Amino acid sequence: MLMADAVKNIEKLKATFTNVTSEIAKKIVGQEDVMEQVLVAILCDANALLESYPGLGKTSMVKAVAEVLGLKFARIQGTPDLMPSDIVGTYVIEEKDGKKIFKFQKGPVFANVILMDEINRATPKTQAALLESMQEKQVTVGNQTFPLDLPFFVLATQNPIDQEGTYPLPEAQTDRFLLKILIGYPKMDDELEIVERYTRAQEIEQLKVLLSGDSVRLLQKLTRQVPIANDIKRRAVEIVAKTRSVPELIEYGASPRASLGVIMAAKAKALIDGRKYVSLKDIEEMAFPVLRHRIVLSFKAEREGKTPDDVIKELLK
Amino acid sequence: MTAIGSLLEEVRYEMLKVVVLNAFLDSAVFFLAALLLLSVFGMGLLVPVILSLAFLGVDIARRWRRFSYRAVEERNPEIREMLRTAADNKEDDSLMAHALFTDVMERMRKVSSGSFLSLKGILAKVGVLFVLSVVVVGLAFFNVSIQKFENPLAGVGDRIGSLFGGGGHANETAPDLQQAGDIYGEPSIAKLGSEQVGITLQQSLNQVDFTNVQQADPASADGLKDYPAGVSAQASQAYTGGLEDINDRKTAAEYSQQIRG
Repeated sequence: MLMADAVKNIEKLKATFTNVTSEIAKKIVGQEDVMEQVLVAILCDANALLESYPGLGKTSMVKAVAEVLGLKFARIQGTPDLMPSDIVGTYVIEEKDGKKIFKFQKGPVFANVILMDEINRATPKTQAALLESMQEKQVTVGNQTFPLDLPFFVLATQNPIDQEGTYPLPEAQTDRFLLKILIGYPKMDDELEIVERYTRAQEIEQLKVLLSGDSVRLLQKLTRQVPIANDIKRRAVEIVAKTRSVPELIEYGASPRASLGVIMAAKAKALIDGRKYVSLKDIEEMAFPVLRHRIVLSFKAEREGKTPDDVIKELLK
Repeated sequence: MTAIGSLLEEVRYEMLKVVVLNAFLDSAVFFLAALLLLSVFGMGLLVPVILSLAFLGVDIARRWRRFSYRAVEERNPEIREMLRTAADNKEDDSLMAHALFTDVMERMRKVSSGSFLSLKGILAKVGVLFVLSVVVVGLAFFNVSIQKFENPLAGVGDRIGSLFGGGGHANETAPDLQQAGDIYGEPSIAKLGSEQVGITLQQSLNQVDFTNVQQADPASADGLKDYPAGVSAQASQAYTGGLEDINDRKTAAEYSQQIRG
C-alpha cells in the first residue's frame, strides 16, 4: 500500500518540474534547454561548467533556480587575486569574555548553489580549492574538516573570448564537471520580451519556493533509481568508447567517468520529462553537454573548423 | 512470480504465437513452391513435405532467436522502450522501477496481440499462397507437361522415398519382355525394313509419349509368323521411374493392345 502511494506520487513529478521551469521562466526568458541542463546537473548531484558571453543571464538564472528550489545561493567572482580562503573561509580572531579565540568564518562555499563566475580568472590554487570541495563535499582548513551543506552544486562559468590573463582549466579538472552548458544569444522574440519585461517594472515578480533542500535530495535519490534498458546502457558506453577510437577527429577521448555521466544525465532528463525509464533520445541528447569538454579535438578536426559538438554529432550517426 | 514477470511471460507467449503463425505461412508458401518445382523433376509429395517441415522448424527457431521486446514496441509506439526497460529491470525493487511496472501494465492492457502481427505481410503471404495453389491445381487439371525436358534427377525421388521405406519403385520388377513380339508388336502385321528406328519412351506429368511411332499398315504387312533372328532392339537409356503410377501402366498396356490391333 505504501509502495502504491509512493508510485502515485511519482506520477506528480512531471507536474512538479513543469511548475519549477515555469516559475524560473518568470525571470528568465527562453533558454529552456539551459534551464533543463542546470536542473539535470542538480538532480545528478553534480556540477556544471557554463560557457557564455557576458550579459546572457547566467547569474539571474542560477539565482532563480536556487530560489525556486529553496536552496541557499552564493556567488564568487573569479579574479587572479582570489585566495582559497576567500572561498572556503578562514579563522578569524574573536574576542569573547575578554579572551581572544580563533573562530572559523565560513566562506561562500558553505551554500547549496554556488555560482563561480569566470573560474578561469582565478589562480590554479584557488581553482583547486573549489574543485576539491566539489569532489569531496567538504573543506579542510588547517587541521579541521567541515562538511558542506547538502545538496551542493557548483555552476562555474567561463568566457569563450578574452583569454588574456586567464588560467584555463586543465582537462583533468574539467572532467569533474558533469556538464558543459553552452548559452547562446536569445532569439529575436525572446530578446524583445526581455527588453519589455526589464525596462518597464523596477521589481520583477517574486518567485515561489516550490521545493526544499530535502526534496531536492530525495529527487537526487530517485534519479539514480530511474531504470534503464541494457541495450540503451550499452549504447551510452559505445558512444563514449567511440571517442577513444577516432584519432582522425579526437586526439584524447573521454574517460569512463563520461559513461557514468551520460547515463546519470539521461536518467535525470527522463525524470524531468516525467518518464520512468531512460530513452535512447535522452542518451543522445545528453551526450553533447557531457562529452563536449571531455574530448580534445585532433589538429585535423580543428583545422577543418569542427567544434566538439560537430564531432559528437558524427559519433552519434 | 511478480505481476510484471507474468506480464512479460504473457507477452512472450503472444509473440510465440505470432512467430509460429508467420513461420507456418512461410512454410506453406515454401511447400507449394517446392511441390511445383519438384513435380517437374518427377518427385512425389514426400520430398516437398519433408523439406517444408524442416523449413518450418528452422524458421521458428530463427524467428524466436530474433525475438526481442523491441519488436513488440515497434508495433506499439505507446510502449516504446518501456517494455524492454521493464524486462531488463524486472528484479529491481526500487520505487521508480515499481512506478515503471505499473505504467507498463496499464498500457499493455490497451495493446492487443493482433498489433504484433504485420497485416501487410500476412496478406502478401496469403496472396502468394493463393497464386501458388491456383498454379498447382491448374497444372494438375490441364495435365500440363514439359515434354522435351531432360530430367536430370530422374529416380531421385524414388531413391529418397525408398530410404524412408516409402512408395518408391526402385526395386520393382521391370515388365517381362521375353519375346520379340512383346517389344515390336504382332509379327503378322509387321513390315520389315533395313531402317534403324529410334524410339523414345518418356513419361512426363502422368502422360506417356511415344514419338516417331506410326500405326502399321496391315495391307503392306509382311505377314510373318515370327520375327527373324537379327532383328533387335537395344535400349540406350533405362527409365523405370515413369512407370511408378499404376494408371500409366494401364495406359501403356491399353496402347500396346491397340497397336497390336
